[in-house]
Amino acid sequence: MKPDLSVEIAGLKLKNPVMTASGTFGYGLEYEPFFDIGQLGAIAVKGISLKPRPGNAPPRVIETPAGMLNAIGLQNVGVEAFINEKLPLLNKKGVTVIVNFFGNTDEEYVQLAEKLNGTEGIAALEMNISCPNVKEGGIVFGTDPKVAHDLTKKIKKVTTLPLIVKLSPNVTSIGEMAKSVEDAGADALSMINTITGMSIDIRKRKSKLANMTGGLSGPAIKPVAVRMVWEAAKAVKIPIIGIGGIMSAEDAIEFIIAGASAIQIGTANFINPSIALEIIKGIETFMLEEKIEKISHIIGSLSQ
Amino acid sequence: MMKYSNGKGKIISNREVAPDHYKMEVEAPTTFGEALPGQFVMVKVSDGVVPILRRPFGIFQTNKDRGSFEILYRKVGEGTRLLADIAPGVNLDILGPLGTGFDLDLSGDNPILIAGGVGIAPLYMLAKELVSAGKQVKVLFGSRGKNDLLVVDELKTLGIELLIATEDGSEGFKGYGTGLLEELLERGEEISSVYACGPEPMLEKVDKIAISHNLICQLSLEAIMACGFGVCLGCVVKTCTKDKDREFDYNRVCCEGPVFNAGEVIWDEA
Ligand SMILES: Cc1cc2nc3c(=O)[nH]c(=O)nc-3n(C[C@H](O)[C@H](O)[C@H](O)COP(=O)(O)OP(=O)(O)OC[C@H]3O[C@@H](n4cnc5c(N)ncnc54)[C@H](O)[C@@H]3O)c2cc1C
Ligand SMILES: Cc1cc2nc3c(=O)[nH]c(=O)nc-3n(C[C@H](O)[C@H](O)[C@H](O)COP(=O)(O)O)c2cc1C
Ligand code: FES
Repeated sequence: MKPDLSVEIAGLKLKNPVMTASGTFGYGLEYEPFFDIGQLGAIAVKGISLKPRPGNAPPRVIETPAGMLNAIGLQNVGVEAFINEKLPLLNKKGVTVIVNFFGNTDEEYVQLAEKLNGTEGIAALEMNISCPNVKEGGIVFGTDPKVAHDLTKKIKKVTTLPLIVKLSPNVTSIGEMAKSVEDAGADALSMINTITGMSIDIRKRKSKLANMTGGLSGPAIKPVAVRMVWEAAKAVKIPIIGIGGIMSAEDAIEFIIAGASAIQIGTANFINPSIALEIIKGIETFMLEEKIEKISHIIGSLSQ
Repeated sequence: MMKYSNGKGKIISNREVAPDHYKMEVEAPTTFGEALPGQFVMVKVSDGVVPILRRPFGIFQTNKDRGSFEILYRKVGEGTRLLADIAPGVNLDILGPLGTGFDLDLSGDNPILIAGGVGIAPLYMLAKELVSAGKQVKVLFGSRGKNDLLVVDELKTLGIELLIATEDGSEGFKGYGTGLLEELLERGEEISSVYACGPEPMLEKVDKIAISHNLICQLSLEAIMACGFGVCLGCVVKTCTKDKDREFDYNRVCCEGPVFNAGEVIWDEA
C-alpha cells in the first residue's frame, strides 16, 4: 500500500509535509529546470515587503563549517511585482503558495497582510518576525514575546488566510515565544529562522560579511532547531513546521518525531536543487520500511 | 527555460599542470556540449557537508567528440584542495552550464583577450571559438612569474598571438597584463574589442582603460556563490541602473553575469 504523506496545517491540506523555505527557493520558478514544483507540499516564497528592497552590500554569503552565514538583507521585488509578475506564473504550476512577508513597522506588516489577503492564489501567509523594528530602535520583533504577540494579533484582525508565524531562534525561551504567538491567534508556527552569527578574516581583521553579522543556516543548526521544535511543541497546540539544516529524509523525520507536522528545506536547495523531491521519496521509503501508514501518525511521537 | 543539468559526470583526468594549478576533464551530460565561453559549472567537491557549498569554475573547454568538458583551477583553499585529490573514475556532482557567456558578436576582427592567472580558463575557450570564426586574436597573459604561466603550449597551438606579462619580469613584458594593454593602445594597434578575466583589481583597471579609450569590452567577474543559479541572491555586484529612482542595482554574478560589459560594474573601495 502507498503510504499516506498528506498532512493538514492550519486548515491547509498538503499532499506531503515537504515545503521549501523562504529565501532559498526564489519565487519557485527558478527550480523548474530541475523538477516539477507542483509535487511539493507547498513553497514559501522569498520574503516580500511593501516596497522593493535592494538588499545589503556584498559580500553577502560565506561558508562556515557545515553551514553558511547570509546577510542578503531581504532583497525582494516588492509586493506589487510579486502579485503581478510572480504569483500568476506560480499558480499556473498548481503549487500551494505560502507568502512569506515582513515589515519594519507594525503598519507595514498590517498593510502587507491586507494587500495579500485580497489576492487570489495564496494559500497561507508566513510572517517573518526576525526583522528590526525601526520605530523601536531596531529591536527585532521576534525577540520580545509581547511585541510578537501584539503584532500577531493585529495581523489576525486583517486577514482570513491561515497565518503561520515564523519564529526567530535568537530568544531566551522559545516555548514562551511560541505560546505568546499562539495566544494571539497564530494558526501555525514555522521554526527556526537563521541563528545570528559572525565570521572574521583574521588577516584583514574584518568580518567576512559586509553587514558584519549574518544568519547561520544549514546542518550546523539542525540540533538547535530540533530542540526548539520539541520545546515549542510541548508549549503549544497549533501545528509546527520544522526548519533548520534538513538535508535528507532522515533529518525531516527527526523534526516530525520532535513535533513538527511539516518541514521546510532551506540551504539544501542550493546544494542539490532537486533535494526536495528526493526527500519526499525518502520519507515514503522510510514509511514503507517502518510500516507507517500515515505520516501524521508519527508527529510528536518521541518516546519519553 | 534554462538549459542546464544537475547530475554526475565521471572524472576522466585530473592533473597538476603548473604548481598548484590543475586541469580536470569530466564526462558531461549533453547540455554541456552547448556551453558558451564564459559560462561556468558548480562542482560539489565533497560528499559530506564540509565544505557544504558547491564551488564555481569557468569552463576551460568542451570536447564535443568525447562528450566531456574541462576546467582549469588553482588550489586556494579547502574546496580546491579536496578537488585536486579526487582520482579519475570518480563521479563528480556537477551543475551547469550556468551564467551568461561572452558575447562573440561584439568581437570585431581584432579582439584582445586579457587574462590574469587562472582567469585564462574561460578565455581559452573564447580564444578557440574566435579563431574558428576567423578573427585575429591576441591573448595578453599576465602572471606573477614564468613558473605561474598556464596552458601556454595549448594557447600557442590555437593560432593566436600570445603576449606575456610577468610581474617579476621573468618572461615577456615586465609588469601587469594591463600595462601591456596600455602599451598596445599607445602604439596605436588595431583593437576591435577586449575580453578580460582575472583578479578584481585587474578587471577594474581594464574597465577604466576600456572606458577611456571607448573600447568594446566584456569582463568576467567572480563572487562567492551559494547556489549559482539565481536563488540565494548571495553573489550580487553593484551595477549602474537605468532606473532614475535608484542609484544602483544589485545584479547576480551567477545569472546576469559572470560576464558584464565595461561601464556596467560599480567598483567599491573596499
Ligand atoms: C563564475 C566563477 C568562475 C570561476 N572560475 C574559476 C576557474 O576557472 N578556475 C579557478 O581556479 N577558480 C575559479 N573561480 C574561483 C573559485 O570558485 C574559487 O577559487 C573556489 O571556490 C575557492 O574554493 P576553496 O574552497 O578552495 O577556497 P575557500 O577556502 O573557500 O577560500 C579561499 C579563498 O578563495 C576565495 N573564494 C572562495 N570562494 C570563491 C568564489 N566563489 N569566487 C572567488 N573567490 C572565492 C575566498 O574568499 C578565499 O580568499 C571562479 C569563480 C567564479 C565565481
Ligand atoms: C540565503 C538565505 C535567505 C533567506 N531569506 C529568508 C527570507 O527572506 N525570509 C525568511 O523568513 N527566511 C529566510 N531565510 C531563512 C530560511 O528560510 C530558513 O529558515 C533557514 O535558512 C534555516 O533553514 P536551513 O538550515 O534549512 O537553511 C533565508 C535563508 C538563507 C540561507
Ligand atoms: S549564487 Fe545564488 S544567486 Fe547567484
